[in-house]
Amino acid sequence: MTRVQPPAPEGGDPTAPSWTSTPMTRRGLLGRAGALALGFALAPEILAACSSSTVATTSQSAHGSLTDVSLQLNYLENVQFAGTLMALSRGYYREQGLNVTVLPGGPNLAPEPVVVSGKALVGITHTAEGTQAIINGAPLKVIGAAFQKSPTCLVSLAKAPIRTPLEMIGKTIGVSDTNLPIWNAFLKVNHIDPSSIHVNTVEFSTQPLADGQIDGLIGFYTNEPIILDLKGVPTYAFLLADFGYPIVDDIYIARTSDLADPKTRAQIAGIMTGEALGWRAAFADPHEAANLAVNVYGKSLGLSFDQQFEDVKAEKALVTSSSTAAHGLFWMSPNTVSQTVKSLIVGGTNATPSMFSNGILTEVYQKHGVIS
Amino acid sequence: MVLLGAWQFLTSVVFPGRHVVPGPVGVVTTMIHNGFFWTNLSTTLSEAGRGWLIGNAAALVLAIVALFVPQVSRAFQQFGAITYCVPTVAVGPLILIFISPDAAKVAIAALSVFFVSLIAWVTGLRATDQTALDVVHVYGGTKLTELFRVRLRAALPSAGGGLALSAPAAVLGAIIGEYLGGVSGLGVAMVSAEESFQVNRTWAIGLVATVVSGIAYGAILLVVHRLGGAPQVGTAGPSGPPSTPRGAHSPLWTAARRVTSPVVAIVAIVVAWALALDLFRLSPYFAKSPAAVWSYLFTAPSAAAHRSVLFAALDTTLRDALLGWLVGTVVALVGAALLVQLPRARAGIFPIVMTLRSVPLIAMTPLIALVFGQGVLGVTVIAAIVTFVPSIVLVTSGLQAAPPQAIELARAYNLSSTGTLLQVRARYAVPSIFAAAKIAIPGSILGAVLAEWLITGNGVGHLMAAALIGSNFGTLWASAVAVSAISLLLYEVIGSFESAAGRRLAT
Repeated sequence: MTRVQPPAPEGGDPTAPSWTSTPMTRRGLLGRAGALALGFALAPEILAACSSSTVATTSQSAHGSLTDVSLQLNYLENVQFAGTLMALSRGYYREQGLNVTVLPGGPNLAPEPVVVSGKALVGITHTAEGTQAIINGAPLKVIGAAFQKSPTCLVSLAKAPIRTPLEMIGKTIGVSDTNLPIWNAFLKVNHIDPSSIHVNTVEFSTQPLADGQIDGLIGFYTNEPIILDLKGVPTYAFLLADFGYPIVDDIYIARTSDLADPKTRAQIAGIMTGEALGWRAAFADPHEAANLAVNVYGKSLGLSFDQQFEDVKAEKALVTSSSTAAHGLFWMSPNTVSQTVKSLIVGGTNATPSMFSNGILTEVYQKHGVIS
Repeated sequence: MVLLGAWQFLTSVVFPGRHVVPGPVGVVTTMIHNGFFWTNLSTTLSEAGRGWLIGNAAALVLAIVALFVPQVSRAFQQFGAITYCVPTVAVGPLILIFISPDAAKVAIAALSVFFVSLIAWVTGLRATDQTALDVVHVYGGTKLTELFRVRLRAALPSAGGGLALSAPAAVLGAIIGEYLGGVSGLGVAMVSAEESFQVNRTWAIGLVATVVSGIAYGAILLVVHRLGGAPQVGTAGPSGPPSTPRGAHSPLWTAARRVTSPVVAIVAIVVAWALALDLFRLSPYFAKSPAAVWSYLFTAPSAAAHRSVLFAALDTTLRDALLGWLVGTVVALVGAALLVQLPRARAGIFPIVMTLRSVPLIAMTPLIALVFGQGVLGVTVIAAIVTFVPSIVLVTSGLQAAPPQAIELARAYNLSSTGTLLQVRARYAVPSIFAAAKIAIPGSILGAVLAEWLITGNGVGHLMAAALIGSNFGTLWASAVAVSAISLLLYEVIGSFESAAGRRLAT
């Protein structure tokens, strides 16, 4: 069921639960809505439950008419989505007439079916996953890339650093299921025989590396190295993108049918506008972005402020580039796309440049000027 | 208390250098310092509670229907067994497409509860004393009066066991659901804690999930007890009701029913599956119809390749599961024998059983992997735990089920108490060993799948995880169907052994 959101309270109190994915219960809805409004408020919810293609419902609010849309993340709400958190807190989506429900992801979630089924208008996913879904028949398009350079890296302990791909040979490397396609592709471009490296499946944990059960770990440049460094375990990390595997990451995906419909297309452009403004604001004020993750949106996660703060700062080098300075955030230049496609093909994902489209971003930056 | 002391001793004295396993002191300190804890706990409890209610309500309704229309009873139980055999880790991402993220967690919790409750209710409703029913009839009571006045009350002891047992299952289901993502919840907090290298917090969450499940389990037993039924913890739960319909039927008729009723249940599910896809007009990219799964496995050009990948993975999983089941069963048999021979051992063994019964496995899986490693040992331990709990409970009651006359006869022949155990009691426990295996084998397969999904990187669990990430929904559906089908088949085969053993004992 699509959740009906209450309008944001006056003053935009960021701690108010209007953004959360915690559903409004019927009882809660009863309490807030007038008796007459109730029928109207519930009807779209029921309709949405029956036809899963319903994406947006319009709710009446004090701020005028806001359209309810959902954005599916591929992970929990931390500063990996700093732009999203800033956009929520500063009302950048609302300025676009949207009441955005952010759906957090987790280790057991694939965002593509959620977008294909219409449960979310836009999704953020990993590049290999998203393009593989398109190959397998998902009617989706890639409409932007948050990370110009994938943050995927190989982390090792500083006391036993692994500095190049070749140094991994003979070692034990931890790879989570999520990262397996990337891992296999990375070995291929570097002409490394997979059997020369012992791979352990590691799910979202830095413990095996710290404990010496493994020599290296495939992780995010913006996450594991910082966590371990702050814990007093010094690390060394290299980006896969710097060793023959240039690829964008955290791509935005939307349904082709929604891109074709002028109404939903405008909503998608609205989400992307909010995302761009949000990311720009996050880099301008990483302190606030970290605070939003730790104390507001990711409050239940028990995140560390220091770590989130360092994360946002590290992300700047990956999200911004000379290309985004010229064309705007998330821009996928022909060169970036061709390199990404090449890396994907090596990994066995037969992506094509036609899966990527700057159409929405072009509209956004024509309307609002380049946001970088 | 003894367990906690041993834990602290082990961590601070035996493995002081390794910071993989923190002692209870560290864990509890972490818990107290984390106010965030209660938000997450209440989220999970809300999901688990609603799932528990829905799962149990559905089970009760079906059990009542089965009481009035005995012909459907077996088909309902097959249906329940199928829900029990479906790997929830694999269907979670698909459930999410139909309902909201919150409802998906509730649904997974309800699914995890349903079978255990159904069996307990069916058994309980049948267990009514005939004299009480006669009294109702004499006073002109209808079937409904009979149901409300007598049967529901009489069902309480058995159903109470099921209600209690299903509480930890609901918590486990909710946490599995939270691995799909969420704002708060124990599963969400656990993923976050693990990722940020918070060893104490990871253990604290696992511990709280266990303690809360244990409290829920105990509280429900207590309430049921107050309501007037002394819950049969030993025999209730997923022990399975008498598998064959009562009455004198010819063996051929019985065999025919044994074959047809699962077929009916399977056909019903396949039809419902195809209809649901049509009704919701789901994209064939992720929603695979029965025909698509069939084609994926048998008629598509690459079907042979699909099969070889799937069968290789199934082979690994079944080995993992079987090894875990064997270990779990052997330990359970030894434990049950100890319980019967040395009643004083109860005080030592029962707390362990109760604790293991309350452990929401997914919360402990990463921790088990840390302690036992990510190889076959970790998987074996998980599959063994799943097996051990129902096995020790059922086998103990089986060993105690030997009629007093037989025991006295053994004594008359001067058999030692060990001799009595091996030669007399063991015979009477055979059906209960099968009854335990019927539940434990599908359970150990699920445990192995879960462990493979989370830690080992091979087997069907891993295949499904990779399929989900790679958008290979054909593989995901075919794997889930295969795992369910194999589990169900084993459930049925062992069920027939169980009734055969029961019949042999009766003659």
